[in-house]
Amino acid sequence: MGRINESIWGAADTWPAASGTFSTVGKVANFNNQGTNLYTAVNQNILTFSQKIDDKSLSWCGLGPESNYGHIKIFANSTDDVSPNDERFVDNQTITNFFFYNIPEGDNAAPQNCIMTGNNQLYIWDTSFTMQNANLYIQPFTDFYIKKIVWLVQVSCSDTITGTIYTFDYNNYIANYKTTYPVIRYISAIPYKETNDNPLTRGTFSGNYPCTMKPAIFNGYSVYTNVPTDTFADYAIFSEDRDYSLLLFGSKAQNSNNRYTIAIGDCKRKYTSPRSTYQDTYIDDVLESALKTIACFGFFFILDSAYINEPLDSDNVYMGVIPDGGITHGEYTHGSANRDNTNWNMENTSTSTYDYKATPIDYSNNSDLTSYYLSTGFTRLYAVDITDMDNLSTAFSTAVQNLSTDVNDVEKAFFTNNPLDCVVSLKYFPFKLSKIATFANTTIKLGNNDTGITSEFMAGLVVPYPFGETYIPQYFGDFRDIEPYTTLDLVVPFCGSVRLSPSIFCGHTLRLKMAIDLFTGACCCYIFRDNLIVDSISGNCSIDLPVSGIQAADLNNAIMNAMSSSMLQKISSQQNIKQGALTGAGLAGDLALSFLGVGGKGGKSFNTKGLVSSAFSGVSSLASSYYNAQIDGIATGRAQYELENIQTPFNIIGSASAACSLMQEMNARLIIHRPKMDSNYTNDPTSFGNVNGYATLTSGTLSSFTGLTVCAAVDVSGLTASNEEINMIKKALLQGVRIKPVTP
Amino acid sequence: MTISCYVNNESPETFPKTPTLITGYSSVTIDPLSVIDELSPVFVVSYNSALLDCNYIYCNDLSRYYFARKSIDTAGRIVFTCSVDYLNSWAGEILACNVTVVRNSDIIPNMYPDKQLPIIPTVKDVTSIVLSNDLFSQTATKNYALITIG
Repeated sequence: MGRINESIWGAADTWPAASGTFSTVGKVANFNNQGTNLYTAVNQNILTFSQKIDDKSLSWCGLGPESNYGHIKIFANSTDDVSPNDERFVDNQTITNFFFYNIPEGDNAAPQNCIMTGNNQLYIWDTSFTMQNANLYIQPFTDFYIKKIVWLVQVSCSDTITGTIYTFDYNNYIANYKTTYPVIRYISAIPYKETNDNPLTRGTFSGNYPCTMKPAIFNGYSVYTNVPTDTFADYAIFSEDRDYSLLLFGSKAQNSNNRYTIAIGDCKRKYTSPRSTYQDTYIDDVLESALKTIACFGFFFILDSAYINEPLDSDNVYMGVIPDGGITHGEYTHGSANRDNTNWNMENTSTSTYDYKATPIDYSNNSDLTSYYLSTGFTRLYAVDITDMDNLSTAFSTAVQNLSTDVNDVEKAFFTNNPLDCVVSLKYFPFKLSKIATFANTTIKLGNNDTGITSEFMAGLVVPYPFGETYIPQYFGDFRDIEPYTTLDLVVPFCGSVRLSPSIFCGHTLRLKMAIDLFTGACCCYIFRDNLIVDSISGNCSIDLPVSGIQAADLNNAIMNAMSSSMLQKISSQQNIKQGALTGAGLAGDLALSFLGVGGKGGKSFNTKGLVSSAFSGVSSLASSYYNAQIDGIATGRAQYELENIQTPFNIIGSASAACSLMQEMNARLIIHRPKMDSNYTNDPTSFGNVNGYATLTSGTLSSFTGLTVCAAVDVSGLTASNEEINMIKKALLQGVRIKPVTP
Repeated sequence: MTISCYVNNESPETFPKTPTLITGYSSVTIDPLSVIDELSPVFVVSYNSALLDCNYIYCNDLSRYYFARKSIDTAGRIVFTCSVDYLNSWAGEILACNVTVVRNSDIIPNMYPDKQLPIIPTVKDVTSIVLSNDLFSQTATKNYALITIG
């Protein structure tokens, strides 16, 4: 033994059998010989409420990315009436370690929950540590008898998202019900244990409610922020309506405010109500994903109840493979191949050779994106819709009309003498902005002017968003799966297309994450191979919408200039103009000017006294004659023309950008081009192989090969034949010989 | 010197062979007129109709197998003109040789490119996989970003 950290989980020779009906399938921790549940661990000061536990020794393997438990998603603000528009994706955790726990039957505890959260800390939800809290009954399994349990995989489904749930064996569902009940609510596995120590006689677990057995994980996310009040959790990600089942796919949400929803697996589907459940329609990937999950634990499983009592190496019994190194990838075998697995000899999980301390583990190849919060402090970004914009336009106009006539008041209210300059940009995005960033309720402000229009402003992190994934299988299983024979083209909306390398992605999961800059609309799609970033493609997913209006300041200036010129003409018609001859005291008085405010409303007057004197300086006599031109005593000069032909200056904030990109498909699409084979080969590949053989590059003794064998190099130094025969032998080997299997 | 007479139906490049011994003729005495040569001997034996099917001979003295082509001489004797089956004769030693194999019928297609595989060069099978997401939506609300001063 020695793998499990006995300083925390107790000495191995003190581990008792699990309580209740699970006593025959494993042993549980013993904390200082005083008890087996976490409540005892706390009382014995082995664990505390907020103690960081950096121990993963209960895991008998490392969950790879193919396990639904290997990555979880966390959503915030789940409510009683959850709808897809309310969910807000918060985080996506990848984890490798886990343990199973037991809750003894007979204890009045609900079989819901065990979440180890918060930076590998063990959180118990009820700080009072009363025995009434379900969490405290948890007995962590230290030794789990994998060979004594066979799990039956079942599919729970319905015809509609809110329809009655029916449960069928995996094979039965595929054969008979996938069309009738296409909505998959969850996929789970029911354990069958040996009875009377007879491995070929298995029965279900029985016992009084609420006995249960569930997996739990250590993860690094602190989920519950209102811990003191969270004394009850309806259920959490690993539990299910039936007590004994292992949830392979799907999750359930918490029906109350201020909670987070933790979802395992590929849970990006719709909620149902009232007890929220993720669901998906029947697709092969969903069912295969569930099998990979159970395989990642190294369990034995069956797909039909008819095989409950079959031997562990029969064709109808599957076994998850735990490869050397202990990181699982959802591979499984069946039949006699089960005996070839390295974990076949792992009678109990405590005999696993998995080194949880070994690094790097598979997840050391993780690379992930970080979130950001960008704020200038002088601008605000609001999430609005069309209605908000209509209201804003009205409010803006009203605000301007209500301004005083002093230009200083304009600047105080809008930080500019041109109110429209308060609007920096308006962009359309094809998604709800709060999906990728945290927004808080507020009212829209233009400069210092509160419009009173309720909206949301960006108040927190902008997070990268999952943008789809798919597993790319090895279609041929040979060189035809890689370039140049097979090509992968990924088309990402708003970004274009990128060619991916099949040799990188074949046999792995292609994952996408979209990072979007809400200020510029720039988007970057990061391309993952499993959990490692290998490529990216960029574009722009926003549409600029122009905001136009009268450039009030420019209009003011134009009118001012025109009026000044007009007045100059009138004065010069009465007396000769000499440079510097006039002073402000000689003027006939102030000339009132007015200007059109924004939208043709409002107006202002200016005192022109100081302006006139400066307008006179530097005016030549020739220019004054031009300005003084009269016909029949009516001024027809340049000044009058300017006044009558003032062009109202409009300003357009932002430039319109093409909206044609909105017409494209909103999902990424992977286009795979694979080679097509000649029909003669397709119909009879064996015949081709017999005649031509297949390319390879392998060395060894010739006796290790059979069939048509063509050599590139031969070592004939051991032959005792004549030289002539040796030459003929060598020639024949290079041309190709047919080796029959040698019968011992 | 004696020979063993067989019937062989396997191709010359196949080895080890398992020819069928002609019953009763595992030790046939050859005529002194035979030409003894390691690689291309000529074995002459008395006529026997049972030997007319023989096309494969083993000579114990020469420790070799031979492909045999028969004819009848003027005296009515059966003349086996032979060429050595070097592969079968030295099968054990050959199978113990270290080799590098570049083609084999029992190693199914693998990651080594095979130019002899009949791939149609101008035709491709196209598969399109949608990577669905719940981010983009044509009916999203609160999806306009208004940036203002203030």
